[in-house]
Amino acid sequence: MSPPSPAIRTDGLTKRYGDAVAVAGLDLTVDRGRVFGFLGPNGAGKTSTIRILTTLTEPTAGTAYVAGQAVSDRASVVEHIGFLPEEPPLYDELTGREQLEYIAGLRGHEDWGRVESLLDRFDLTDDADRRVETYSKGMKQKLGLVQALLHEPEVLFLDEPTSGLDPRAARTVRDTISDVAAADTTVFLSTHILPVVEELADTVGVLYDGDLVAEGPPAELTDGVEAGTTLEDVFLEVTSERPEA
Amino acid sequence: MSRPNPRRAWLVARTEFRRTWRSLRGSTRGIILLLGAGLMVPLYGLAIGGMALFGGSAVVTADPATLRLAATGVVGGLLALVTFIVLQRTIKVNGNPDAADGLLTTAPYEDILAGLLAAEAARLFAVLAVPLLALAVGLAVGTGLPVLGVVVFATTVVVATAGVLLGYAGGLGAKLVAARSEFVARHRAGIGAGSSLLFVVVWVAASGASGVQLALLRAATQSPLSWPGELLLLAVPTVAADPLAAAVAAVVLVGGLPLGGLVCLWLADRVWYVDPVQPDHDFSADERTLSDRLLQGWVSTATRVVAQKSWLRAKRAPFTVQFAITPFFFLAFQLQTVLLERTVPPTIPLFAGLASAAAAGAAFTLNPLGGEERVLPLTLTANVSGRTFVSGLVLAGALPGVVLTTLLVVGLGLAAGIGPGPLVAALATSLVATVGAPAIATATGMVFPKFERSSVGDREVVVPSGLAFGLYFLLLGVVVAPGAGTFGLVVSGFGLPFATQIVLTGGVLITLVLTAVGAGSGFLYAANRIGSYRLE
Repeated sequence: MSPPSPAIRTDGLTKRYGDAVAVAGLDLTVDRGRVFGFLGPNGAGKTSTIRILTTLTEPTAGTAYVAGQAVSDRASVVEHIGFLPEEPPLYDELTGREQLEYIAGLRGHEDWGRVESLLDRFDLTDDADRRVETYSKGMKQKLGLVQALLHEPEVLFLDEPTSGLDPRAARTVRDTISDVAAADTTVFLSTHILPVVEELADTVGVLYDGDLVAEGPPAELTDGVEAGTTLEDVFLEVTSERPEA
Repeated sequence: MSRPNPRRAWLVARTEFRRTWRSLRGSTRGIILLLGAGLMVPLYGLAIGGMALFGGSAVVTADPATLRLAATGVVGGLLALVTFIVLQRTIKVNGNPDAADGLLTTAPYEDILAGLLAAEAARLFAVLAVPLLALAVGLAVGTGLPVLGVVVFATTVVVATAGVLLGYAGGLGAKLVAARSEFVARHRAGIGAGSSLLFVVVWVAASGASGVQLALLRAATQSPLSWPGELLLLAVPTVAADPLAAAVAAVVLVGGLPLGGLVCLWLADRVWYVDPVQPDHDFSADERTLSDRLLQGWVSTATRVVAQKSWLRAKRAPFTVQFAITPFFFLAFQLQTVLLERTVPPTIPLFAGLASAAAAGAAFTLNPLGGEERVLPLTLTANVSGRTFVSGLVLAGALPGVVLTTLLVVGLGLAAGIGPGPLVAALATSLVATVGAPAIATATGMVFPKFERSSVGDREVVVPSGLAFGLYFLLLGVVVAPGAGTFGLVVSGFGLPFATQIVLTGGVLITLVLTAVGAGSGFLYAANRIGSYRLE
């Protein structure tokens, strides 16, 4: 019996926009049920990578598989993933509950009990029948996360999920990420908030100028350097200007 | 590409329709639109049904050539109207799904497209259904030919549906070009604004010229465009319709629907997942632009950069000043005269000059504070005096306005063949208005400032308040009235008790004085208000 395929695998994944290289031959493997912290400075290629893995854009070269499906097969990949972009994709004119019913309907996953339990978990039950346009940024972020989780995806892509949240809501999100990972969901977590990654990620990948310049468990990355070194120090070290070749 | 899932497509369509309904109910503009549609659609239906009913008896006895013209007009006009509406809505509003990242990672794009198309068709038929039904019933009863009513209804519904697909495909095609072509991407908003203006001017001008319409219709009846009309004529026993043309039209129309759907699918696959070209805006700190060369040494640096900022924003995002072209719509009626009478009316140079003046005033100065949008706190704390700031805005409107006004007045004056006296008077009145209008506009913009954003196409923009617009036009009308009035009297050959030169000079001078007073006091008022303005 062959071992299960990794949740995410990319081989030589490349994305160019004209002359600019956003992702340069990325080789990456994320095992199932892990939380992968995807770090990198602005413009490093994180969003381009996520857009390729979620089938929203095509790679210029290389291959990528998500949940065992090639990203070129959009319909197959979409079935297995949940995605929360940096700006939660919500309709202002709908109520929170209608938004979730809509997404559940599109997914063919009309489990109202799960909708209610997620609303409750994220403290949104009392506001579920208000229009999304009246929600605060944090509430929108939480609703966006709920709709990404509704169908219990195999792989969850999160782009800055705790951005704009108050400490309590951020705690809920972090707890939820831990829980879904414990339930064997793979989480691909892109964020600038390094303590979140340190707390949650099993593995960290640092992207810089489209290259993966560091990869490994957070503890491993900070090991072997002087005592007291944090993930932030490592991040700053590996993403400093490289000398001209 | 796979076949859309009807359940998901229905869900998308229902949600889109619900969003449209709520969005309309949730705003004053939407309520007015709903009320207007609620009133006008039944009225149109009644008028069309009435005409069909009472004109129905004439159908069976009418000359076949006339009937062919009418049938081609109905089918061609409906197809053109629906295609145009959907095309521009696709480009501006719904060519991409809202919350696209979430939706496209939730359901196959084929289902989303099918839902969006169904929602667009539903919106359209919410408006068209009553008039089309009234036309069919009116004709059926009026002619005593029930089958004619059925054929008319079926054909118009299929034609309108084809228009939806054609318009959506055209809109997606335009978006694909905009996403792939650096030139189009760089000038997209300008191309859009220019095309819209051209279309409206030509449409209004041609709609008043029945000769032009008739010539177009006659040409259409000689082409395959008339074949769908043969479908309608088949149901009229007194007309020898061409069954082959009707059959071809039926096959093309009905067969074209799935084909149109496939084309939309192909385009959506490319447009929704495209990586759009990102045009670079080259900048060199050392490079001196034309405006640098024109303004350096003449005005202060602060005034110059305020003007340059206004021009740059308008160039990069013309939709922010799109409202300013409104005065040019009034030229459409003059254009009708050109088309109908094949002469350039002598009043057109002054009308064009005043339209240019009004546009120059409205473009940058009609909402001086609101137009700063999110930068306003910075502007207010930038240690720029109110006078300097207003001078920059006035300069931004007046400088290009003077060039455009001169070109329009002189060019059209020569084309109209008006004498040198009236031409100089038209030019002088227009130039005085062009220089004074921005300052008048600044004052009205300070009386009625607006900070709320409105939707312009698919963008959210702060546009000036309607009250500021109204007051500005009123004041501008008052100050130009003497110059414009005396010009009108002279070119229309009105009997005057004084020599025309005296009348023209007097009119221009009074306009000059009124404008100087209006613009000067407007400038001071606006400068003082801005200088002492505090955020609420």
